[in-house]
Amino acid sequence: MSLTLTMKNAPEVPLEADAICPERFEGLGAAQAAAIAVLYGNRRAQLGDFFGIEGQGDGEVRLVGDCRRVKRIGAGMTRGRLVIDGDVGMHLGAGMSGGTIVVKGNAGDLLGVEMLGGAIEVTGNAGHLVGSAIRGGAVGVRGGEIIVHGNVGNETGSGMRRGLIAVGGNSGDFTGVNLFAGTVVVLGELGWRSGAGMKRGSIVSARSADVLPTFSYACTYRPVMLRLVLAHLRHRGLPVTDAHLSGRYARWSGDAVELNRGEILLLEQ
Amino acid sequence: MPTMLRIVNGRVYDPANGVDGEVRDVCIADGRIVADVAPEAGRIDAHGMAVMPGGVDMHCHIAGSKVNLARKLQPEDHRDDVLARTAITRSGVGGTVPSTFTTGYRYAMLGYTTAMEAAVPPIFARHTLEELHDTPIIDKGFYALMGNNVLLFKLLEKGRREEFRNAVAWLLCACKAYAAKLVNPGGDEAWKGRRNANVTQLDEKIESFDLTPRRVIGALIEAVDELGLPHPAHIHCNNLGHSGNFETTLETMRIADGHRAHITHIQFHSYGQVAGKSSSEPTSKAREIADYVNAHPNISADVGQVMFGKATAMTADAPLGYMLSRLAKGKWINADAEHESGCGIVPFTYQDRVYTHALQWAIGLELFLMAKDPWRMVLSTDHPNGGSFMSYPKLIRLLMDREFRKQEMAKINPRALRQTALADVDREYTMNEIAIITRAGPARLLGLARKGHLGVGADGDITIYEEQDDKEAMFAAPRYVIKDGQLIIEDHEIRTDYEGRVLHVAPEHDPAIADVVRVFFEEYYSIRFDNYPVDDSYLGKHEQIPTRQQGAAGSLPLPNRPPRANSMLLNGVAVEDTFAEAFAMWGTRVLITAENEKWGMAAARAMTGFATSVIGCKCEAGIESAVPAAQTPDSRPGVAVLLFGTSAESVGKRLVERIGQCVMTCPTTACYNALASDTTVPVGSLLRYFGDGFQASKLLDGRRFWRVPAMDGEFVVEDRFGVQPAIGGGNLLILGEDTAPTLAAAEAAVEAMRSVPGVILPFPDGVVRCGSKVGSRYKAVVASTNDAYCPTLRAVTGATQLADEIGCVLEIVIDGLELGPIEEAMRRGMKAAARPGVRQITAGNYGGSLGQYKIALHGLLNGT
Repeated sequence: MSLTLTMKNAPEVPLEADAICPERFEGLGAAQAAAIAVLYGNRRAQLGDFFGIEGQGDGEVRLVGDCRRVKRIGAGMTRGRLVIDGDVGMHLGAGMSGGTIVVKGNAGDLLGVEMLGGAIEVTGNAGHLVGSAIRGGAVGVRGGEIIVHGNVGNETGSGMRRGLIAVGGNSGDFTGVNLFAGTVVVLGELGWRSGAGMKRGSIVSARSADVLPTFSYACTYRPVMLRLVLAHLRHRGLPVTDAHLSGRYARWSGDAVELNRGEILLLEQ
Repeated sequence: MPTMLRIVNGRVYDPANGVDGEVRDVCIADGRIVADVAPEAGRIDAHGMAVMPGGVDMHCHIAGSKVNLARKLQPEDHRDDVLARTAITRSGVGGTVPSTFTTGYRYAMLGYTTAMEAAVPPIFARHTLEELHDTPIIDKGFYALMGNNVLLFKLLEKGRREEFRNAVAWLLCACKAYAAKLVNPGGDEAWKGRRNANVTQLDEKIESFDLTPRRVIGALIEAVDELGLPHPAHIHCNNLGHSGNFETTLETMRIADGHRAHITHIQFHSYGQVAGKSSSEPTSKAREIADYVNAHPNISADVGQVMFGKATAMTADAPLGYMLSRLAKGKWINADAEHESGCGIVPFTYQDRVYTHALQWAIGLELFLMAKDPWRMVLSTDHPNGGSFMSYPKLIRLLMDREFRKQEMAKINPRALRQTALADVDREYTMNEIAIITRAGPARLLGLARKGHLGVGADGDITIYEEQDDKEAMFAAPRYVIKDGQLIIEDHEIRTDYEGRVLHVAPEHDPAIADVVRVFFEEYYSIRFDNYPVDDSYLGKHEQIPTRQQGAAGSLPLPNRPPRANSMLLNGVAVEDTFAEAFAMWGTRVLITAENEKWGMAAARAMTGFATSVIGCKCEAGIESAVPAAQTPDSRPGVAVLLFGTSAESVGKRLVERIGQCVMTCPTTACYNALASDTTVPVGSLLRYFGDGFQASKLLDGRRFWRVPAMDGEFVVEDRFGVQPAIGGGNLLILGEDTAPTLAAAEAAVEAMRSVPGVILPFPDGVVRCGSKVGSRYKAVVASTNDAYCPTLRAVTGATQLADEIGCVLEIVIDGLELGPIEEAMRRGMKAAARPGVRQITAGNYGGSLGQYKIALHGLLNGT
């Protein structure tokens, strides 16, 4: 049995909807869910003011409609499943530590910001700062998995400490900027200045890329570890091919202005 | 209350009579076990329960002067543990030193029916007997302190050996004691005169006497043996608690020189010392002590396990009391009992994070787990010195439940744990062994022929526990306790009060010795001689246990060996009705992948080559199967390898060694964990350092991998590998007329067995030609040729199991992660080996006394 929230009155200013979190709805009926408080600008409002709610909160939570102005959905969630049928706003899954969020549409900026665990999947595109740290924050994502089938914007995985981000399309500039560790896979094209300031970790692309002068070429080889990662992503529905799996990758070590233990792996074309 | 009782459907554990978990009736009439009772006898249905003799605590401090002082010292202990009076039971208080009535009830509530107060100066025997009289239900007795007795010293230093022995006998008779006790022999004299003085060497002169502790110990050991006492000299060695004291303990045991001697709370006497450190950072010498006890059947011991939490140190070792009081820094008592003994009482709490306490806890467990003969290393906590007797169920669980033990080990000071071998020991005590260390063993050591067993004629002291996985819960609350055939506890509740018997000895002696004693007495004691001996009115119900000269019954029956039985025919080959005895081990499955099968196999063969037996190779390993590329994490061809060791930690070490040396080195390989388990060991986590700082890790889907840079790219190895309890030593013995057909049969068996997943045959190509037995005539050799199965020795070894037509015997050993596949492999192996030229198929076992698994051959063929 799932709980469905259907957008009926689109908000004019963003809705701070941390409350839309599967565990928050456990055991609640539609009427109780509608009464849950949300912040609408600087006003207190209720979920029911914006959403028509049906069903029981003891399984999946579904959002239907254009939620582009609904922010912080799934923030801090620890378990459960959240499915959004439509576009969704910023900070989706911020700081979540467990559970799954699926977006059948596009996501706004700061997707999975400072995530600790769990999984997010976006069938469309996402904005900037996917899986990143909050501005001013030292460390970004600490665990979990973010998959975006479409394209992503700039600073994907900025400040990431641990985890996996995979992009089916292209990424913008500064992919993996200040990466501490973890893995960012972009099946499409990387933008400019990937890996700037990376300490360790891996940035992988199935296309060639221009690499910063502070990166040095190491070798071209078949990294076994990548086979595990790509097989996993294929299993998750990304269009990983056998050529990706068994191909040779050029390894660039950097960023030399930092620890120089990071790598950018570019599939030999 | 019915005088006749039949207990039915219970699983009986009676090690003294060789009964190990068999469902059978136990009958009681007139307070004793009988062979049968009339149909109208009372019945207890013990279905789903374990039936054991009543527990016997052979060393505790429960009654007398020092015990009562300890009670008075700690009212705060009693405030929180008050027992109200009931219609049947008297009121009392608990804590670590319960009041007398509470002591009896609580022992009974744990299923104990006999307990011996371990240390009483003869002059205070009256007090002890009065308190024992108020200790309900259990049978009881006490040991009289003799190791610092001035009269005995005076006789001994003058070489008056006859009189010495007679005086010992006289004292035992006079105070109605059960045994002779020594506590820190010779130490009191120094302590009486000077602050913080003690003896520390066995050959040191005892203050004011021309004697040494060695002489005193030796004289008492001999005297007790000469008097034929049921229990040997009971010795609390010198230097208790001091770093390096294990030497003193070994020396003390050597003094016995073939005579019986019992070393009590031996844990406190098993410490080594960090070399060069004059002060006291103790280490564990449990191995040395256990080895000595194992190798010397004249020596027995009780462990004296420390259990974390509150305890009360109460000891006749006065200098020790002083030392402990400096550590505990609280209130304490020290006392002297004229001419006979000292005394120290110190409330004390053992904490798991404190190095010394954690070490003591671990050493106690080491001693239990390293003991080869549970009959001679029995359970005690030296209640309440190491912990209350109420902690016995938890201790039992620690011994029986390796997982629980590991959890508890994780809580203690890790530096202390590393000092011991406890993390490497995976032994789990069986019910049979628990019955030995808590009942049958102590009864035998005490020489109580009618206790600790359920044979005909034994006292009707029986405990019935509900079988549970949680052994602590199981042993903490017996369902029924029967004392002298009386149902004392039924459905966990006390149903009737009862008075047990005081057990004492009255050894033969020359009555003229009384005159010698009187002279000394009148000169030095503060009471009159005629007031000193205890008259029978203090005894209440009692039983005098005979000495050897007085016609003591022979020692308790030794455990029976299972009888050899018939064969079953399989294709004309006789399959013996016996079992393979297999052992609890730890195992893992490892997946090696490589660019192609050739290199995967090369790595796997190297890794599993020198891995035939844990005895010499430290692990047993083999190739389980090839794994197709579609089923491996990196979708390259793979090989699955199984590896077994004696402990999870040992398996971990072998994995690091072997994967590091044989897999990592092999071109294009990667190595993954292939066993899901909650228990893991570090492998990649350690091998990563080969990367010299250039290694990197990746966390994917909850699994961590290490990428170790190598000349051909990278070696990917998983961070941690799962390990699980496994079974090793499943085996078959193929007996044939001649080498060629026997070998062909063995090869056929191996081929059939290789098709079973989950097992490996650790020996080269699966067949062993030099099967071994445990032990050897040579001390240093742990295993030797299995002469019972050597055809050339048929005529000269007393142990032969071979008929005269046997010309060759070959063995196949099987290890597996689960029992089922081992059984299946043995089944297939037997069927394949039953060919012309093979006369008999059997299996190796140790009478069931060493291994945790028994795989019955007939059962395999019958499909049961």
